[in-house]
Amino acid sequence: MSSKMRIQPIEVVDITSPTMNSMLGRYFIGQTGALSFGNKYTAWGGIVNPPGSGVNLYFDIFTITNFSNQNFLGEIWLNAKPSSKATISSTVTPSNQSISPPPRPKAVMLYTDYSTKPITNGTNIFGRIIAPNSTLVSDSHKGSIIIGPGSSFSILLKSQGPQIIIGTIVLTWWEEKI
Amino acid sequence: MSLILMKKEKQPKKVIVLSNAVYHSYLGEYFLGQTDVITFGGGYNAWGGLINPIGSNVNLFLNAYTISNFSNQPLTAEGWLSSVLPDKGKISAYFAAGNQSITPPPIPKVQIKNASFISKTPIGGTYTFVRRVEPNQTLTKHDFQGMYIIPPGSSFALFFLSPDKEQVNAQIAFGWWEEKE
Repeated sequence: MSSKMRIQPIEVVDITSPTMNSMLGRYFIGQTGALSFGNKYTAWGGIVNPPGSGVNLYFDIFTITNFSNQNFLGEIWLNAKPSSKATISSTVTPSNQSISPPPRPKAVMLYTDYSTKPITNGTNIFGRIIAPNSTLVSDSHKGSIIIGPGSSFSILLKSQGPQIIIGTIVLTWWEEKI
Repeated sequence: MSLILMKKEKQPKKVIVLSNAVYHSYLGEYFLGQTDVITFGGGYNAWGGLINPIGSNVNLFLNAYTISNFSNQPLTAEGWLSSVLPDKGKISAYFAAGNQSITPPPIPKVQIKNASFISKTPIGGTYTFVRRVEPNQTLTKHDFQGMYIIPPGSSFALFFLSPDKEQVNAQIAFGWWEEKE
């Protein structure tokens, strides 16, 4: 074999984890309803991996939309306990719409607004300021945040001001059997 | 689409590309966390950073940082590597492993620390970069993929210079992984 042959690189097709999981029908997008908060009230939206689900969630992207003229804070929480009054979101769908019947996630998206209760469990790992009349789109976490059964990923929306603000949260993730 | 009539080397294999940060999260070695709210102004400075303690036996690989400016005026953050920071700093409790499917959850060796209202400046090390952060915004810098490597006894810190009079509230978040030396 000539030396030229030996250094021949191999051609490969580069697929990201989110793309692969979408192809397999395991990638989901969930949106909360319009959330009202501000004037001492908070709003919360997140995905919960139920105990005994048999899957791990691999978190990918969050977006937070601010429909108001005032900036607010989005706190990102791991393992926060959802309020017992939380609503189950109906706007959850697989990103791969070519599979029939559509795959259903094991994770549940929940949200609450006009809340006065502080978050009791979990850890606030980072925060983002959301500018007025804008949508903040996070970078792809590519599955570096992994939520096991009984755990959750969520965002708490807060504002110091007296004004009532409307915001919406979108979360994307994929699920893999344990 | 058919590739059958093409040469064998034109029928490439499909591979899933994982970033190094994601790989280390699978191993339970990736962490995320933030400082407390840091306050400065009126001639007093502040800092927040990742401190790799002496004897930790791990190197810290920085993947991301964010700076939130909660005030109505811009702020200046100086990036300092391996300096001796004024004030011992307070250890933050706001951190977690990226991989929450491991029981018990992994605990980082590296500490997030911060100090508010200090009069001195960092000693030694290198003032490596500077970032200006607009009012009421979160500056994000992602995907270093471990470009900054901090050994035991060293640090990665953001130092906030006091504006003239007004008081500024800020908060820093980090994403990093740890590998045995």
